[in-house]
Amino acid sequence: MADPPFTVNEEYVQDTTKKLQFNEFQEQPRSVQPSSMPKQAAIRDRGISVLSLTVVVLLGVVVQLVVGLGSYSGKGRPPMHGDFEAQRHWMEITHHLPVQEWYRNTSSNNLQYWGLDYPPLTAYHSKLMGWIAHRIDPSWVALSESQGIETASHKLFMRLSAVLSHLLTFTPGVVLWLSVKRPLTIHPVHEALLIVLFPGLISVDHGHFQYNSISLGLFLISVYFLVYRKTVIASIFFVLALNYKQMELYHSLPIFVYILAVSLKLYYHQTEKYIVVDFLQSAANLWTVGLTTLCTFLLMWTPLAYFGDENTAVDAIKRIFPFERGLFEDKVASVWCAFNPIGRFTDIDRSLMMKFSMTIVLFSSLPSLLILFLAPTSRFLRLTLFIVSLNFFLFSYQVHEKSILLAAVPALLLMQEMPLVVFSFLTTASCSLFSLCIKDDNERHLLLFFGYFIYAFTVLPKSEGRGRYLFLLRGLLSFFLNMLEMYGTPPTRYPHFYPYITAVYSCVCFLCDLIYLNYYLIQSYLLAGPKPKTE
Amino acid sequence: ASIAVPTLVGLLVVKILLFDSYSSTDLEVHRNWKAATHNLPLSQWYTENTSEWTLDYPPFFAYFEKCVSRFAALIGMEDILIIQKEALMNNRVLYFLRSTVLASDMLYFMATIIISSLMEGSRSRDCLFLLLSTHTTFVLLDNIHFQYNAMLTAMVIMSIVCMMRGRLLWGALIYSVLLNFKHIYLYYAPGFVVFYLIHMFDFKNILRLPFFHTINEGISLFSVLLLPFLFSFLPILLSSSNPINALQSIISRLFPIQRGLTHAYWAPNFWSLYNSLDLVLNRVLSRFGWILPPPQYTSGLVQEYSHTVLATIGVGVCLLLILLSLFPLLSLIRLDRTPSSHLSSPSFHLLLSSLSFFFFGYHVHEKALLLPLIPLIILSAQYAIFSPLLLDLTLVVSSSLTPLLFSTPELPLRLAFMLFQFSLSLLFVCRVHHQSARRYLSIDRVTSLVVLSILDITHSFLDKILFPSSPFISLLLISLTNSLILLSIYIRLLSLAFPFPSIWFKKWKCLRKESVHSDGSFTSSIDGMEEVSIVVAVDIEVTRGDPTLAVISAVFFDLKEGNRLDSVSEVIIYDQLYIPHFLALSEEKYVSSLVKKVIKERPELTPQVIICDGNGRFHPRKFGLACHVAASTGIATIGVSKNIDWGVIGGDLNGRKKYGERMKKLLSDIPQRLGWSPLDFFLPHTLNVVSYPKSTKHVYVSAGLGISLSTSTEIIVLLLSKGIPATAEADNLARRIASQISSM
Repeated sequence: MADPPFTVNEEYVQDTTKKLQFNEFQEQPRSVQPSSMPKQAAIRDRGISVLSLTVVVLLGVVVQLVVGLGSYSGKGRPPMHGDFEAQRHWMEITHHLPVQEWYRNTSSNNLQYWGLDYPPLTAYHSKLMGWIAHRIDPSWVALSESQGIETASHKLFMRLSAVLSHLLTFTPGVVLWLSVKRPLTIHPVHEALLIVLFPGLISVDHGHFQYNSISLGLFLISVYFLVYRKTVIASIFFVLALNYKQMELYHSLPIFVYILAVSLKLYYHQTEKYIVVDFLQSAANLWTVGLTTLCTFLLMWTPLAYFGDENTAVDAIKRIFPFERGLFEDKVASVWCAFNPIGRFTDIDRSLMMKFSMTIVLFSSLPSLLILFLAPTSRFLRLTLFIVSLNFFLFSYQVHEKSILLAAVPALLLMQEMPLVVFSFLTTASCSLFSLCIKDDNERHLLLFFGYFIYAFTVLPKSEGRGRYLFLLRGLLSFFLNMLEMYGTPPTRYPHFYPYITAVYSCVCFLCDLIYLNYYLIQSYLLAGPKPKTE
Repeated sequence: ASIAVPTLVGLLVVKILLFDSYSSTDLEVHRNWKAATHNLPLSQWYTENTSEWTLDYPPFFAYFEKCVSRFAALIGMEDILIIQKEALMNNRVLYFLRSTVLASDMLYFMATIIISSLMEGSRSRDCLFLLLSTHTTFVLLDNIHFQYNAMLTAMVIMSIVCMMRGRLLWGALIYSVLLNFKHIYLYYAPGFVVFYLIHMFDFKNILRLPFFHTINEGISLFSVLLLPFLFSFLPILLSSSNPINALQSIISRLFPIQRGLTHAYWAPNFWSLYNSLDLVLNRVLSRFGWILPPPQYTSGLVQEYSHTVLATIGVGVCLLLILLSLFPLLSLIRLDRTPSSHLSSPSFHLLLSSLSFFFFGYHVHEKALLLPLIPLIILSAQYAIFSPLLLDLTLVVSSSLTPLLFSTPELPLRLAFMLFQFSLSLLFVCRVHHQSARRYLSIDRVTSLVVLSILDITHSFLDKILFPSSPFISLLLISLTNSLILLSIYIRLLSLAFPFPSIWFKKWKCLRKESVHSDGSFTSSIDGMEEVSIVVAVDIEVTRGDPTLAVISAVFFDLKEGNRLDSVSEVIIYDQLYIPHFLALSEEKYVSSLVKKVIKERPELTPQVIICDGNGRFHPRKFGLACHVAASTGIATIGVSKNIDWGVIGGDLNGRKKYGERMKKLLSDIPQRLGWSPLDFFLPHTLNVVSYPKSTKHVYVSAGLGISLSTSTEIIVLLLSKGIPATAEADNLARRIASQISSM
C-alpha cells in the first residue's frame, strides 16, 4: 500500500511526556456481578433423530432384500409348492375370478390347491397385487397356467411387494411407537434396530414369504393410538388388521378389555371409598367405538356381498375358520404338541379338544385381563397383549409355528421395561422358527438369529447382572438344538426327533416366560395399586 | 470396542447370506489364477494363457493366490484348482472363494479399528469405525461382485496410520508392498512423494538442513521402497531362463494399453464428459447434413476407438493432463512440516493424487473410485471442511458402481445400498461435526440424490420399455451426472490445495464491496445512546484439533437494563484464510448469517448494534470486519479488539518496532479506572482505548458503519459499568462450547 491511510501523531513522538486524555466513567459503577451463564444445552442427545431412524429403516430394507435373495417356501417342490405359491395363487384367483368364486370351490378355483382362507382385506390386497402383476407380466398370474411359476423376475416382484408392504405398514407402526415418550433403559437407536431387524419376522416374510408385516403393522399402529387413548382410530386400525389375518384374534381380547376399561368413566369417591360409573358418558364412548368397529367391518365385507352373491360371505367365514384341520401342524412349540406323547391329545375327540383348549386359553388369560380392566395403562396393555397372545400360541387349537410372531410383536414393545425377558423370549421364538427355515432351504437364517442374539446380548444393560448369563445359556442351548436339527442324524425310529426336541424346549421356555410375565404383571399391579381417576 | 462385536457379527451374517448372490467373471478370474499358481512353476505364471483370464496383477498377489491355493489343496479341494479354458463353477468353488474373501475382510476390519482408534474423541472414533467397516461399496465389490479390495484397502489404511503416527519408513514399506499386490495403487504415488518431501525431507528448508542427513534419509527410504520389489520380482525373474523376457511379459500383462480411452461403461471422469460432448456434436452436426461416422464408444465393448468430431485422445494426452492436474498437489511442498493441518495430512495428498489419476486417466474403471474414497472418509472424520465433499463422493461412488450389479434378483439392492450409504454417511458427518442434517441437505445435493435414484430405477426396470432403441441411455446419463458432481468435488479440492486464484478473486470482490460502501451511503445510523436498546456481541472460536470447525456465539444484551437477554451458538464449518487485513474474508459471512438467522427466527431480539471482535474503521483500508458486517446486515456495528493493528501506518512490523515502546508507555499511564481515552496517537482519530477498573487490561474500540466513535465507546463503557465485558462474554461462550466439542 503506497499511501497508508493513517499517520502517527508527531506530538506524541516529540513530547515523550504527553499522556492520553483520560475520561473517567461518570456514573458510579454498581457492584460488579458476574453475569450468570445458563447451562448450555446446545449439544445433547435427545431421543432418536429422523436421520438415525432413516438409517435404521434403510438398513432393515437392505437386510430384507439380502434375505430375499435366498430361497422361499416350496421352491422347486411341485405339486403343492408352499406359502409363496399360495400368495401368488391368490393374486391369480382374485385378479381373474369374480368375487363370488374367491372363497368357493368351482371349476376354475380348486380350493384344495391353496384356496383363499384369509379375510377379505387379504383378498383385496391380493387383487391389487394381481392387477399390478398382470400389468407387468400377465404370465405371472395367468389363470391356472401360472401355477408353480418360478422365474427370477417374478420372484423379484414378490420380494419387492413384501418389502414395500413392510415399509408401508410395519415401518410406520415402528416409527409411531418410537415417538412415544417413555422411560428409556436401552438407547433408542438400539431399540429401533432391535425392532426393525427382528429376524423372526424378516425370515418369515422375506424368506419363507408371507405378508405378516401388514397385519402386524396395522396392529402396531392401533397400539400406538390405544396408548394415547384414541380408541376410535385404534379400533379402526385393529379391525383392519383383523380383516387382514384372522390370527389377529390373539390380540383381540386385551384390546377389547382395554377399550372397555378406557371407555367406562369411573370415578373413585374419595371419602366414601366406592366407585361411581358415569353411565351416560361411558355408554356414549362405547357406542362410538362399537359403531366404528361395526362400520369398519361392514366396509370390509360389503364388497363381498355386493359384488358376490348372498353366500360369498358365508363361504369366506367357513374358509377362514377351518376347524376341520388338526390340533397342530408339524412340530410346533405349543403345549398340545410338545406334551402329546404324555397327554395323547390327538386321540381325544376334536370338538371336545377344541372346547377344552378354548377354556384353558380363556382361564389362563383371565388374571391379566382383569388387571388390565382395573388399570388400563400402556404398560399393562402391552404386557397383557404379550401374555394373552402367548396363551393363545401355547394352548389354542390349530397352532402354526409362525403364530409366535403375534406374541413377538408385543414383546418388542416391552423391550425398554424388561429387556432380559424380552430378548430371551425373542431368541427362543426365532429358534422355534428354524425348522421352517430348514424346510425352505434357508438354513442360513440361523446366522440371522444368532447375530441378533449376540447383538441383544451386547445391548442388555449391565444392571441385569447374573440374568445376562442365564440369557446366554438359554439362547446357546436353543442354538445347540437347532444345530442338532440341521446336522444331527436322528434315531431311525423317530425321524422328527430333533425338531420335536426343539419344540419341547421352546415350549418349556415359553411356559417359564408366561409364568414370569404373569407374576411380574400381578406384582407390579399390586405395587402400583388400582388407580381409577379420582375426583 | 463395544460396537465392534455386533458390527462384526452383523457384517459376517450379511456377507454369508450373500454367498449365493450374483458373482461376476472375476470369480473365475481369481479361481484361474489360483489354479495357475498352484499347478505351474513360477516361471510360467505370467506366460500361461489357457484361459483368457490371465494373471495381470503384480507378483505379490500371485504369491497370495499361491498361498490360498496351497491351503485349498491342504483341505482337499484340489478339484477346484484345474487349469482349463472354460469357467469352472460349482458350489465348492463358490463357497471356497467366498470364504477366502470373508477371511481376508478380517484384515480390513482390524485396520478400521486401528485407524479409528487414532481419532480424538469417542464420537468420531465410533463413527469412523462404523462408516469404514460397514461401507457397502466393499460388500458390493468384494462379497457380491467378487474381488479382494478390502484386503488391499487394509494396507492403504495401515500405511496412512503409519504416516499419521510419524512412522514414515513403515508407511513407505507398506505402500511398496501394496504396489506389489496391485499396481493400480500407483495412483497414490505422487501423493506419497509430496508427503515424504514435506515430512521426511522438509523440502521447504532442505537447503538449510545438513546435507548428509538428507542423503541418509533418502537412502533409507529408497531401500525400504526397493525391498518389496526385490522380494516380489526376483524369484520370478530368477526362475525363468531369460529374465529380460520374463520381465517384459510381466510388464505387458500389468499395463495393457490396447483397450480404449473409456471402459464399456464410462467411469465418471473427464473423458465421460468429453465423450458426451462428442456424441452431442455428432448428433447435432449430422442433423445439419454433415457426414460423420457413427460413434463407436456407445457399443458397450472394450476396444480402442476414435472420436467423431473432437480429437481422438491417446495415452500421451492423458498422461500430460494428469501431470498438469498434479500441479496443485505438488505446490503443497510449500508447507512447513511442523504444523499439522488438513493440507499436510497424508490422506489429503493421497486423495488429491488418486483423484487426478481417476479424472484424467486412460481406461479408468469405476472401481478405482475406492482409491479417493477411503482417504476422504478418514479426512472428513478429522476435518469438517471435507464433510460436504464426502457426501458428494459417496453419491458418486455408490451410484457409479450400479452397472456392476445387473442380474435380476440383485437389482433393488443397488438403490437400497445407495440410499443406505448416503444416509449413513450423512449421519456420520452430522454426528462427528455437530451439524444439523439440514445444513448438508442443500438443494443441489438433494437434487442429485433424487436424479440418481430415478436414473437407477429407470436403468433397473424401465430402460427396455422407455428406450428400446438405445438401451444404454440411462447408464450414459448416470455417468454424465456423476462426472459433473465429481468435477465439482475435484475443483473444490484443487482450490483447497492451491487457494491462490480463489483468494485473489475473493480479495477482488471484497475490495469492490468496500469501494461501493466507503462513500457513506450506509442507510441506518445511530445518533445517540437513547436509540439503542439491544446490542449483540459476536465471536468465533476455532475448536482444538480441527482448524476447520469453529463455534460462533452471539450474546444479546439489553443496554438499558444492563442485563443479558439470550445467547445463540452454532457449530460452523470454518473456511479459514490467513490473509493480513482481510479478516472479513473468513469471518464476515458467518457473523452476518448468524445475526440474520436470529432476526428471522426471533424478531424480538433484533439488535440495533452489533459488536464484533475485530476492527471498524481503524483499518489499513478504513474498512475492517465490523464495516463489512454492517454492510451486509444493514445494522450499525462496533469493532472491539484486544490488540492494535500496526499495519495501519504501513509496513507490517516497522511501526511496532519504532513506536511500540512509546505506545506501551502511553497505555501504562492510563489510570486503572473504568473510562476511555482517545487514542489520537494515530491520525485521523478513529480509535479509542477503554480501560478497566483495577486492571491493566485495555480494549480498543473503533466504530464500524452507521455509528460515531463516541457513541460506540459510550456503549462499550456502559456495558462494562454493568459488569458486562461484551466481546469477552461471546468469546467465553464460544470457547467453552468449542472445548466441549473437542473433548467429545
